[in-house]
Amino acid sequence: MMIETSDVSVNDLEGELTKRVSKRLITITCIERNDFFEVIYHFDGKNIENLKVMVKKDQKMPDISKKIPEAKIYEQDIQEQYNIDFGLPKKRLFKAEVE
Amino acid sequence: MHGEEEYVLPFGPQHPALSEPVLLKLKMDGEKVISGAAEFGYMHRGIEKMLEGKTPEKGIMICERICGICPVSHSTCYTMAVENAANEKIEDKIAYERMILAELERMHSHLVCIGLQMHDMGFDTLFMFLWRERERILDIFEKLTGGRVQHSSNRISSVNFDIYGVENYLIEEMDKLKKGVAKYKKEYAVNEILKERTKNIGVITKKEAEKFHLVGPIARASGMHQDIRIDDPYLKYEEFDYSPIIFDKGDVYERTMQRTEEIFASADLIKKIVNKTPKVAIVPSKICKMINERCQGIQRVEAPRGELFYFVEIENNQIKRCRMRPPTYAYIRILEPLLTDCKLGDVPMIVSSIDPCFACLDRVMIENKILNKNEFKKMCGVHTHD
Repeated sequence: MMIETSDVSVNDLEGELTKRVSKRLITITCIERNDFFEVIYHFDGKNIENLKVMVKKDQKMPDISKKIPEAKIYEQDIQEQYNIDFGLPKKRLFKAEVE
Repeated sequence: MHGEEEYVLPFGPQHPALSEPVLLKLKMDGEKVISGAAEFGYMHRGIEKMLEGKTPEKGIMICERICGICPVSHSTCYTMAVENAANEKIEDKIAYERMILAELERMHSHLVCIGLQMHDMGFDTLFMFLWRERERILDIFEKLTGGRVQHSSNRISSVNFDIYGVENYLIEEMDKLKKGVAKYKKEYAVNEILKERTKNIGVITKKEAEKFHLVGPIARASGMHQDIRIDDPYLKYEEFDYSPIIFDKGDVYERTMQRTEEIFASADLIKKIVNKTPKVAIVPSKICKMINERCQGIQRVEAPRGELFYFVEIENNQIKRCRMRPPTYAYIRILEPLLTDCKLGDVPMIVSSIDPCFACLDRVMIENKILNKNEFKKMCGVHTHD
């Protein structure tokens, strides 16, 4: 399996993701490092294309779900798990909270 | 209600028509569903978090238990992601054996799905007949691996079973199974009541399927050429001449027929694989090498419900992060448009026809607060006086 990985900055991320609107987003992975998060967008194609971005823990991420609708469920998942702000409503998709 | 007032009908989370817990909030006008929204999260067990810190070998055991219908796909995909991370190559025979088990699982999963659809329709006789054929596959699983539901079939760079000596048995069983399913297919392919019940219901057009980026059998039933076995071949799938089963209308009936045809295709594929598998006993598996440097592996396979994706990061021989994207995660968004403008009686049919697996979907546990005894009782609806 061929995998292509490229690094981008948070500022360029929206532009880079917009270029890949025609591709299918497989999923978004988030990995917690010491003082930042590593967010990887996996795109389908002949080869899997990974777009990797480093995010500081208090930094806001762009919400791409208007352009790539399938991103919404993955963004919501990461927002809940890692508290990265994608600007999505603070509702819970996977719920285990007590009022 | 006389069509004057709209109301929200909670369908689930526990409902006789649902095989797994999910809450469907249906906005109703009389018998008509105006719109529907799905809420899930009733099956989460914290699997992704549970995997962190485990050795790669132990991870197989956990990944297998994500779903009771597709444990082989999960363990194969995870194992291959670890092998990719460690740059391990597997022998041809092991690849063929993994393929045989994966195809058996596809047939098993499709029979479960079609059987449940018949059950939802009230056609319980056919439900039992189809599940009798499924029993045949469980017997094969038991004979090969020792387990009927959880098989513990995969190891890193190896497998825990061997088809050496049972090749003829496998081929004979495939013939019997094809004969059995063909007999029952005749019943539901031409049954007028069943056609009336399933045709033009829950239609997903090709345009919609492409817009929602659907995967697996539901995409193929809508005319999309989407099959990871062909698009991005893994194991030894490229060696076999296999063409995806494509239908075009994308209603409940077509989805049932598409799965039925896939059962026949998988049975044929298994026979081809068995004939090609080297007739030698498998070499006992070696101890997995330690993976100490940080490495990442990615793999995707065609699980019975569609594309299954795994991302694994390993460091110091421990899983640092394991991300999985089961097929239901990719196509669950289609549920809301499907539940718009339909009849309440069609809801179970539509839900079961897309074959969602909420056990696969709800892997994530969010812990907001540790509950004390009283809070836990309150959450469960138990009233106490202390």
